Amino acid sequence: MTGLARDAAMATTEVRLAAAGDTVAFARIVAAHHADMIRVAYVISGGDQEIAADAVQAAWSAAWRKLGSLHDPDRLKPWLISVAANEARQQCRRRRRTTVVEIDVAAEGPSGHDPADRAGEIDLERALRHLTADERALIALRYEAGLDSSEIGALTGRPASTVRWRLARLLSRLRKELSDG
Amino acid sequence: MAELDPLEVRLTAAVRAFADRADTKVDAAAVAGRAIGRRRFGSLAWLGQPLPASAAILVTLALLLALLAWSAQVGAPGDPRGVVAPLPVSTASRSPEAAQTLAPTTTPVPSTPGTGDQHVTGTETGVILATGYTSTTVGDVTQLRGGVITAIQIMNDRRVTGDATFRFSVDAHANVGPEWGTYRLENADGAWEGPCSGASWDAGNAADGTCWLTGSGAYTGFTYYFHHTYGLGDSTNVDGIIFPGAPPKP
Repeated sequence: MTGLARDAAMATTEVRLAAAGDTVAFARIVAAHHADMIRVAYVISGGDQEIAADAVQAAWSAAWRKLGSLHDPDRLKPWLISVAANEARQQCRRRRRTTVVEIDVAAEGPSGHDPADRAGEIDLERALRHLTADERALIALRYEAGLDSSEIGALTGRPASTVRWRLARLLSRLRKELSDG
Repeated sequence: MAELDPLEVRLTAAVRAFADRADTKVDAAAVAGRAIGRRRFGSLAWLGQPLPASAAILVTLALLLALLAWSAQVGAPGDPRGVVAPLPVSTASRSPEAAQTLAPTTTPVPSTPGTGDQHVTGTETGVILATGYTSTTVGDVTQLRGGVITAIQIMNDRRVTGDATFRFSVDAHANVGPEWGTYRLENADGAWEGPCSGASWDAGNAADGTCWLTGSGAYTGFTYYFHHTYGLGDSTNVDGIIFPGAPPKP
């Protein structure tokens, strides 16, 4: 068995054990995927660690209840990320948090990082501030989690064409904001 | 991912750089424990199911018993349920692949010889509301009946380590409530069963309870008494005694 196949088999085993109520298997799933979920939730929250942590904790509660409904264990990671994204959107709505935290330009960025690239990143981060949590969720699923439109559509219950259209509109807005910068 | 245009490449880098600032450290056992025993709407909720405040004691009892039972159960055939905390604890019934991923990091409490009269200590975890309860409001009291909680008790005496089943009732007042029921703890060598009673307060966020269990099988002729106190942690500490003879009669 290849390493990848073995990993997949182990993941499937973990999901089935956890769905059957094995809490240790569930904890191992948490250990494997928590960081990815936090990263997506953090982007959606606009950089609010507290919202991200609360959202992911809520996502794990939902995951524990609904793990048995996941028909394809190979899709565990995108499914978990979409649950976390949904919780983060809801947390943002509840807290009416639509803007990201201020970015300390001077403090950010590793030393040796190309200043021009870093300035571009900061411009984009500032542009992201003006998006809604729903829009940042789309951005996070696409560019942080690396899901394509079809996957996002399947996870969010929308046609892939709708996801592509929304992404294209978002990109267009970001492009305009950057050029107006 | 399909080929990205230059803006998307920049956006990907910016989003990932932004996400890099997130604190992704995790205590997986604690997060999993909270997810399984998540509280909502001011009441306890185990496995995502809201549990009235006064049921906290029962849950605690169940956890404690379950932990005890688990300790005795290790290495024996039986229920494959696992334990939330501590994470590295595993049962013999798990798959080899799963077992390989666990790091044995727990430090067990010094064990008793597992014979005679003993003071025993341990924890209770893996609580599951296996059967929902009915809820009937009579005046200012909400009567909960017919609930069944399963849990795992892990103790420093193998005789009282195993799977626990707690059948409980609660009379929930606004912030406090008495709780009672029957508790059964079993492992490969025998079982313990008897009545429990306790109380909860702080709208169910705190509780304690005691159980007097009579042994059967290899434990015939012994009584197991235990007490546990429940707070908002992910597991519950248990203290108890095992002694030859019957429970005292009030």
